[in-house]
Amino acid sequence: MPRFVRTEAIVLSRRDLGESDRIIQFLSRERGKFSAVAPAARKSRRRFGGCLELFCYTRLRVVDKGPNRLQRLEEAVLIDGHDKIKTDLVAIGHAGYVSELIAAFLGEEDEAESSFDLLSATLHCLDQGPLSTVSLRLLELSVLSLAGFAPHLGSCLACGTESLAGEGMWAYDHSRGGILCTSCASGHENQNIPVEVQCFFRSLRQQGSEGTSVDPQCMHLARSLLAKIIDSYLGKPLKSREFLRKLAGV
Amino acid sequence: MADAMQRLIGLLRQLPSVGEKTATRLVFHILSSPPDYGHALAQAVADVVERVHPCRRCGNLSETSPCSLCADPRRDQSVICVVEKVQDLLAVENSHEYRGLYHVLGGALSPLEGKGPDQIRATELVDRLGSEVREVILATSASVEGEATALYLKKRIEQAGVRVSRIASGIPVGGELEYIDRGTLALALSGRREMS
Repeated sequence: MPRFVRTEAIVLSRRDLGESDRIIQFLSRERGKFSAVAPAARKSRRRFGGCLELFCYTRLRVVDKGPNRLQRLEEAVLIDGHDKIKTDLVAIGHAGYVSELIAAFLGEEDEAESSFDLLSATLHCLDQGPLSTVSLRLLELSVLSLAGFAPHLGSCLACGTESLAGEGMWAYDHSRGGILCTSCASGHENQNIPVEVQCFFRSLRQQGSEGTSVDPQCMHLARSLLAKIIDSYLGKPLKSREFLRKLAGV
Repeated sequence: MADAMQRLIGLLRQLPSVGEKTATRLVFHILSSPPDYGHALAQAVADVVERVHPCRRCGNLSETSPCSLCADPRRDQSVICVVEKVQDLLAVENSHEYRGLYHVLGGALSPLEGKGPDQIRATELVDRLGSEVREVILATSASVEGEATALYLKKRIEQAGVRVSRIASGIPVGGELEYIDRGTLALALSGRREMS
C-alpha cells in the first residue's frame, strides 16, 4: 500500500521522462540513494521551483509505492541550493564529480550515512570555491574506503614487506587492490607506483589534505592511479572526470 | 492490418508523446481524410528533412543560409543573444522584445554527461565577435548546466573585449511571492533594479 515518506536529500542527478516529467536521483542520510518521479517538473515551475536542481539540499515528501516501484515526489522545499557553487565553473565540475563518484559506488537504498555526510561536507566546501588537487585525491580515497575498496598501501600484498622499505619501483596490482614490492611485482603487468606516491597517500591518510603537499609529477601519477582504481571497480570511466579534463584543456 | 499501415504506425510511435493507440488513431485519421491531405503531409515531412538545415552563422534552422534573421538588415547587428537550442530562439523571438542577432549553441555544458566546450558551438560564437559586435546576451537556462555554459562563455567572450550580459532570473509575471521558492526569490532580490 502506498505511503507518504518525509526525508531530506541532496539531488545527485536528473533526467527527463516523457514530455514534462523528470526522474530525480537523491541521496538521503536515512534512505540512501533513491529515485523518484517528479510529475510535470519540466512544465510547471510552480510545483517544485528550483528545488530539483543539481546539488540542491531539499526537504521532500514522496509517495513510496513499495519495493521495485518508482517513488513519486509530492513536495519539495529548498533547504540549501548551494548557489555559490553555481558561480564558479570549476566548482560546478568538482560538485558534479563528487556527486557522480559517490552515487556510482552506492546501490539503491544502501546504508549511506557516511556517504551523505561526505557529500554534504564537500558541497559546503565547494560553496567557498573549487577543491585543491590534494583534496580531490583525499575525497577519492575516502569514497573508495566507504565503499569497502580502500587500496591496500601499507605493505606488499604478496610477501607483507612494509611499503617505503627498500629501493626500487613498487607496483599496484589492480586485480588484487593493493601494492606489490619490487621482487613480487616482477614478471607481472602492473602499474608502477613510486615511493613518492606511496608517501603522498600515507600522508593524506594520516594528516588529511591540509598538511600534505606534493610535486606536480607525483600528483599526476597519484591522480592517474586513483582514476584507474576507480574505473576498474566501476567498469566504466566517470563522465564528470571527462568534463573536468575538457575544462582543464581550455 | 495492412503492412503499410503497420509501418506508418511504427514510425509515428517513435515521435515524442505518441504511443501505439495515438499512432493508430492518427493513421486512421489520415486514411479517412481526402488523399490530398496524406500526400501533402508526406511532402511536408520530406521538405523539412531535405530543405531545413542549420544556418552556418547562427545555427538557427532555416531553408536558407544565412537564415532570414541573420540576413535581415533591420536587425541590430551589434548584439548577439546566445541560446542553447532553436526552441529557445523561438521563445525569445516570440517575446517581441529583442531585435538583435542570435547564436544557437546546440546544447549546454554538462558535468554529469561529460559534455564539454568542444560539444557546443562556442568557438563559432567567438569567431563571430568582430568589431561591430558590442554586446553578447547569454540566454542559457537557469539550471546548473546553463550557468556552467554562461560562465565558460563569459570568460571566452571577455577575452575578445566584448561586453557580456546575462538574462535576469526571478519572479515570473503573475507569480505570487508566497509561492516562490527560496532560490528564485534570492536571485530576484540580488538582481533587483532601480525603478525608472
